[in-house]
Amino acid sequence: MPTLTDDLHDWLDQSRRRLKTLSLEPRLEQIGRVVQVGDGVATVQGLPGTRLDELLIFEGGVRGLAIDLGEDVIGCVLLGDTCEIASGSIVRGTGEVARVPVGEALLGRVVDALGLPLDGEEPPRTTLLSAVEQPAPAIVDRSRGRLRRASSSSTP
Amino acid sequence: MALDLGAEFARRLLAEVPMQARAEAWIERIEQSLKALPKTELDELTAQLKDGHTLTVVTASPLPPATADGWRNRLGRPLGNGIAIAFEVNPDLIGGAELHFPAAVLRFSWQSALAALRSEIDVHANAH
Repeated sequence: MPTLTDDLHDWLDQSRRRLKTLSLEPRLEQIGRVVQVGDGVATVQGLPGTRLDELLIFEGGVRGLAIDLGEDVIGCVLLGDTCEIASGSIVRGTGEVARVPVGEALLGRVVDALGLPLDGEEPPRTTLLSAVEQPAPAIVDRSRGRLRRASSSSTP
Repeated sequence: MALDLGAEFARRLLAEVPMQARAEAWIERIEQSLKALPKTELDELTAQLKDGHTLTVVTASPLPPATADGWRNRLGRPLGNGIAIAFEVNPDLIGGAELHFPAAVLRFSWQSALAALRSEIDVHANAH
Protein backbone atom coordinates (compact mmCIF):
# COMPACT_ATOMS: atom_id res chain seq x y z
CA MET A 1 0.00 0.00 0.00
CA PRO A 2 1.50 3.39 -0.98
CA THR A 3 2.41 5.66 1.92
CA LEU A 4 1.90 9.40 2.13
CA THR A 5 5.61 9.84 1.31
CA ASP A 6 5.20 7.73 -1.84
CA ASP A 7 2.22 9.83 -2.89
CA LEU A 8 4.18 13.03 -2.27
CA HIS A 9 7.16 11.81 -4.32
CA ASP A 10 4.81 10.81 -7.09
CA TRP A 11 3.15 14.23 -7.01
CA LEU A 12 6.55 15.98 -7.03
CA ASP A 13 7.71 13.94 -10.05
CA GLN A 14 4.54 14.77 -11.95
CA SER A 15 4.79 18.46 -11.01
CA ARG A 16 8.43 18.63 -12.18
CA ARG A 17 7.48 17.06 -15.50
CA ARG A 18 4.64 19.57 -16.00
CA LEU A 19 6.83 22.54 -15.08
CA LYS A 20 9.53 21.46 -17.56
CA THR A 21 7.08 21.85 -20.42
CA LEU A 22 5.66 25.16 -19.20
CA SER A 23 6.71 28.12 -21.31
CA LEU A 24 7.80 31.19 -19.36
CA GLU A 25 8.03 33.47 -22.37
CA PRO A 26 6.67 36.95 -21.64
CA ARG A 27 3.13 37.47 -22.79
CA LEU A 28 1.51 40.65 -23.92
CA GLU A 29 -1.41 41.34 -21.63
CA GLN A 30 -4.05 43.81 -22.74
CA ILE A 31 -5.29 46.07 -19.95
CA GLY A 32 -7.99 48.65 -19.61
CA ARG A 33 -8.32 51.60 -17.30
CA VAL A 34 -11.27 52.90 -15.35
CA VAL A 35 -12.30 56.32 -16.62
CA GLN A 36 -15.39 56.72 -14.46
CA VAL A 37 -16.97 54.87 -11.57
CA GLY A 38 -20.17 55.36 -9.60
CA ASP A 39 -23.40 53.66 -8.51
CA GLY A 40 -21.88 50.22 -8.94
CA VAL A 41 -21.03 50.83 -12.57
CA ALA A 42 -17.58 51.47 -14.05
CA THR A 43 -16.69 52.82 -17.46
CA VAL A 44 -13.52 51.22 -18.78
CA GLN A 45 -11.29 52.37 -21.62
CA GLY A 46 -9.20 49.81 -23.51
CA LEU A 47 -9.62 46.02 -23.71
CA PRO A 48 -10.87 46.11 -27.29
CA GLY A 49 -11.35 42.33 -27.46
CA THR A 50 -13.88 42.19 -24.63
CA ARG A 51 -17.02 40.11 -25.24
CA LEU A 52 -20.51 40.90 -24.03
CA ASP A 53 -21.05 39.46 -20.51
CA GLU A 54 -17.33 38.84 -20.11
CA LEU A 55 -15.99 38.83 -16.58
CA LEU A 56 -13.46 41.61 -15.97
CA ILE A 57 -11.12 41.83 -12.99
CA PHE A 58 -10.36 45.18 -11.40
CA GLU A 59 -7.41 46.12 -9.22
CA GLY A 60 -7.89 44.59 -5.78
CA GLY A 61 -9.64 41.56 -7.27
CA VAL A 62 -13.15 43.02 -7.61
CA ARG A 63 -14.98 41.48 -10.54
CA GLY A 64 -17.31 43.09 -12.98
CA LEU A 65 -19.57 42.13 -15.84
CA ALA A 66 -19.18 43.81 -19.24
CA ILE A 67 -22.72 44.72 -20.21
CA ASP A 68 -22.27 47.59 -22.63
CA LEU A 69 -19.63 47.48 -25.38
CA GLY A 70 -19.09 50.88 -26.95
CA GLU A 71 -16.65 51.88 -29.65
CA ASP A 72 -14.07 53.18 -27.15
CA VAL A 73 -15.40 52.31 -23.71
CA ILE A 74 -17.03 49.42 -21.88
CA GLY A 75 -19.85 49.74 -19.37
CA CYS A 76 -19.32 47.31 -16.53
CA VAL A 77 -21.51 46.32 -13.58
CA LEU A 78 -19.33 45.87 -10.49
CA LEU A 79 -19.92 42.70 -8.49
CA GLY A 80 -18.03 43.58 -5.32
CA ASP A 81 -16.76 46.32 -3.05
CA THR A 82 -16.10 49.39 -5.17
CA CYS A 83 -14.07 51.32 -2.56
CA GLU A 84 -10.70 50.38 -4.05
CA ILE A 85 -11.70 51.26 -7.60
CA ALA A 86 -10.81 54.73 -8.78
CA SER A 87 -10.32 56.53 -12.04
CA GLY A 88 -7.14 55.13 -13.61
CA SER A 89 -7.42 51.71 -11.92
CA ILE A 90 -6.23 48.84 -14.10
CA VAL A 91 -8.75 46.33 -15.45
CA ARG A 92 -7.99 42.93 -16.98
CA GLY A 93 -10.12 40.75 -19.19
CA THR A 94 -10.64 37.08 -18.42
CA GLY A 95 -11.90 35.95 -21.82
CA GLU A 96 -14.67 34.11 -19.98
CA VAL A 97 -18.37 34.83 -19.82
CA ALA A 98 -19.55 35.17 -16.21
CA ARG A 99 -20.72 31.81 -14.92
CA VAL A 100 -22.02 30.72 -11.53
CA PRO A 101 -22.15 27.36 -9.79
CA VAL A 102 -25.56 25.68 -9.97
CA GLY A 103 -27.07 22.62 -8.32
CA GLU A 104 -28.61 21.35 -5.12
CA ALA A 105 -25.60 22.45 -3.06
CA LEU A 106 -26.89 26.02 -3.50
CA LEU A 107 -30.17 25.26 -1.67
CA GLY A 108 -30.29 27.15 1.63
CA ARG A 109 -27.06 29.01 0.92
CA VAL A 110 -26.48 32.77 0.74
CA VAL A 111 -24.11 33.64 -2.08
CA ASP A 112 -23.07 36.70 -4.04
CA ALA A 113 -23.69 37.35 -7.72
CA LEU A 114 -20.88 34.98 -8.68
CA GLY A 115 -21.84 32.17 -6.30
CA LEU A 116 -19.23 32.99 -3.65
CA PRO A 117 -20.47 32.37 -0.09
CA LEU A 118 -21.77 35.26 2.00
CA ASP A 119 -22.92 33.06 4.89
CA GLY A 120 -19.50 32.25 6.30
CA GLU A 121 -19.67 28.65 5.09
CA GLU A 122 -17.43 26.84 2.60
CA PRO A 123 -18.00 27.54 -1.12
CA PRO A 124 -20.88 25.40 -2.43
CA ARG A 125 -19.56 22.11 -3.83
CA THR A 126 -21.07 21.91 -7.26
CA THR A 127 -19.97 20.26 -10.46
CA LEU A 128 -21.89 22.46 -12.88
CA LEU A 129 -21.41 26.08 -13.88
CA SER A 130 -24.01 28.01 -15.79
CA ALA A 131 -23.72 31.32 -17.67
CA VAL A 132 -25.24 34.23 -15.74
CA GLU A 133 -26.96 35.60 -18.82
CA GLN A 134 -28.96 33.13 -20.87
CA PRO A 135 -32.48 32.81 -22.28
CA ALA A 136 -35.13 32.16 -19.64
CA PRO A 137 -36.79 28.71 -19.75
CA ALA A 138 -39.93 28.56 -21.87
CA ILE A 139 -43.19 29.07 -20.00
CA VAL A 140 -44.25 25.50 -20.77
CA ASP A 141 -41.05 24.13 -19.23
CA ARG A 142 -41.52 26.26 -16.14
CA SER A 143 -45.09 25.03 -15.72
CA ARG A 144 -43.92 21.43 -16.01
CA GLY A 145 -41.34 21.99 -13.30
CA ARG A 146 -43.93 23.55 -11.00
CA LEU A 147 -46.35 20.66 -11.61
CA ARG A 148 -43.59 18.14 -10.93
CA ARG A 149 -42.71 19.81 -7.64
CA ALA A 150 -46.37 20.09 -6.67
CA SER A 151 -47.02 16.41 -7.39
CA SER A 152 -43.90 15.26 -5.53
CA SER A 153 -44.75 17.39 -2.47
CA SER A 154 -48.30 15.95 -2.34
CA THR A 155 -47.03 12.36 -2.51
CA PRO A 156 -47.27 10.75 0.94
CA MET B 1 3.47 28.90 1.87
CA ALA B 2 6.29 26.75 0.51
CA LEU B 3 6.08 28.65 -2.77
CA ASP B 4 6.23 32.00 -0.95
CA LEU B 5 9.32 30.79 0.89
CA GLY B 6 10.82 29.70 -2.43
CA ALA B 7 10.21 33.19 -3.83
CA GLU B 8 11.97 34.67 -0.80
CA PHE B 9 14.97 32.35 -1.43
CA ALA B 10 15.05 33.58 -5.04
CA ARG B 11 14.97 37.21 -3.90
CA ARG B 12 17.91 36.66 -1.52
CA LEU B 13 20.01 34.80 -4.08
CA LEU B 14 19.33 37.36 -6.78
CA ALA B 15 20.60 40.13 -4.52
CA GLU B 16 24.02 38.42 -4.70
CA VAL B 17 24.28 39.23 -8.41
CA PRO B 18 25.59 42.77 -9.15
CA MET B 19 22.87 45.16 -10.36
CA GLN B 20 24.78 45.98 -13.54
CA ALA B 21 24.86 42.32 -14.59
CA ARG B 22 21.18 41.82 -13.76
CA ALA B 23 20.12 44.95 -15.65
CA GLU B 24 22.11 43.95 -18.74
CA ALA B 25 20.57 40.47 -18.79
CA TRP B 26 17.04 41.86 -18.45
CA ILE B 27 17.32 44.54 -21.13
CA GLU B 28 18.77 41.97 -23.54
CA ARG B 29 15.80 39.70 -22.92
CA ILE B 30 13.39 42.60 -23.39
CA GLU B 31 15.06 43.58 -26.66
CA GLN B 32 14.87 40.00 -27.95
CA SER B 33 11.20 39.71 -27.00
CA LEU B 34 10.29 43.02 -28.64
CA LYS B 35 12.09 41.89 -31.80
CA ALA B 36 10.18 38.61 -31.74
CA LEU B 37 6.77 40.30 -31.43
CA PRO B 38 4.55 40.10 -34.52
CA LYS B 39 4.67 43.40 -36.43
CA THR B 40 0.99 44.08 -35.79
CA GLU B 41 1.47 43.83 -32.03
CA LEU B 42 4.59 46.00 -32.08
CA ASP B 43 2.80 48.60 -34.20
CA GLU B 44 -0.10 48.56 -31.76
CA LEU B 45 2.26 49.15 -28.84
CA THR B 46 4.11 51.99 -30.53
CA ALA B 47 0.78 53.57 -31.49
CA GLN B 48 -0.16 53.63 -27.81
CA LEU B 49 2.91 55.73 -27.06
CA LYS B 50 1.98 58.52 -29.46
CA ASP B 51 0.42 61.80 -28.30
CA GLY B 52 2.78 62.04 -25.34
CA HIS B 53 1.68 58.86 -23.59
CA THR B 54 4.34 57.38 -21.34
CA LEU B 55 5.90 53.93 -21.24
CA THR B 56 6.54 53.01 -17.61
CA VAL B 57 9.36 50.59 -16.93
CA VAL B 58 8.92 48.85 -13.58
CA THR B 59 11.82 47.05 -11.93
CA ALA B 60 12.21 45.39 -8.54
CA SER B 61 15.01 47.73 -7.49
CA PRO B 62 16.00 51.17 -8.79
CA LEU B 63 18.20 51.26 -11.87
CA PRO B 64 21.31 53.47 -11.55
CA PRO B 65 20.86 56.67 -13.62
CA ALA B 66 23.40 55.64 -16.26
CA THR B 67 21.73 52.24 -16.66
CA ALA B 68 18.31 53.88 -16.94
CA ASP B 69 19.65 56.13 -19.71
CA GLY B 70 21.00 53.06 -21.50
CA TRP B 71 17.58 51.36 -21.23
CA ARG B 72 15.93 54.52 -22.64
CA ASN B 73 18.12 54.36 -25.73
CA ARG B 74 17.71 50.63 -26.23
CA LEU B 75 13.93 50.70 -25.77
CA GLY B 76 13.68 53.68 -28.11
CA ARG B 77 15.07 51.64 -31.03
CA PRO B 78 12.14 49.23 -31.39
CA LEU B 79 9.46 51.48 -29.86
CA GLY B 80 10.37 54.83 -31.40
CA ASN B 81 13.05 57.33 -30.47
CA GLY B 82 11.81 60.24 -28.43
CA ILE B 83 9.07 58.32 -26.61
CA ALA B 84 8.48 59.29 -23.00
CA ILE B 85 9.82 56.64 -20.61
CA ALA B 86 9.40 56.73 -16.84
CA PHE B 87 10.94 54.34 -14.32
CA GLU B 88 9.20 52.96 -11.27
CA VAL B 89 10.14 50.44 -8.58
CA ASN B 90 8.04 47.55 -7.28
CA PRO B 91 9.96 45.15 -5.02
CA ASP B 92 7.19 42.53 -5.48
CA LEU B 93 8.54 41.82 -8.96
CA ILE B 94 11.54 40.06 -7.29
CA GLY B 95 13.59 40.36 -10.50
CA GLY B 96 13.22 41.23 -14.17
CA ALA B 97 11.07 44.09 -15.35
CA GLU B 98 7.64 45.03 -16.68
CA LEU B 99 6.82 47.39 -19.50
CA HIS B 100 3.55 49.20 -18.83
CA PHE B 101 2.00 50.69 -21.94
CA PRO B 102 -1.23 52.72 -21.65
CA ALA B 103 -3.35 49.70 -22.64
CA ALA B 104 -1.02 46.71 -22.33
CA VAL B 105 1.63 45.20 -20.08
CA LEU B 106 4.63 43.12 -21.13
CA ARG B 107 5.85 41.13 -18.15
CA PHE B 108 9.42 39.90 -17.89
CA SER B 109 9.36 39.71 -14.10
CA TRP B 110 10.17 36.78 -11.87
CA GLN B 111 6.92 37.48 -10.04
CA SER B 112 5.00 36.81 -13.23
CA ALA B 113 7.05 33.67 -14.00
CA LEU B 114 6.54 32.36 -10.46
CA ALA B 115 2.80 33.07 -10.72
CA ALA B 116 2.64 31.00 -13.92
CA LEU B 117 4.53 28.15 -12.24
CA ARG B 118 2.27 28.37 -9.20
CA SER B 119 -0.83 28.34 -11.35
CA GLU B 120 0.39 25.24 -13.17
CA ILE B 121 1.05 23.47 -9.87
CA ASP B 122 -2.37 24.52 -8.51
CA VAL B 123 -4.10 23.13 -11.59
CA HIS B 124 -2.20 19.88 -11.13
CA ALA B 125 -2.98 19.73 -7.40
CA ASN B 126 -6.69 20.41 -7.94
CA ALA B 127 -6.87 17.68 -10.56
CA HIS B 128 -5.93 15.11 -7.85
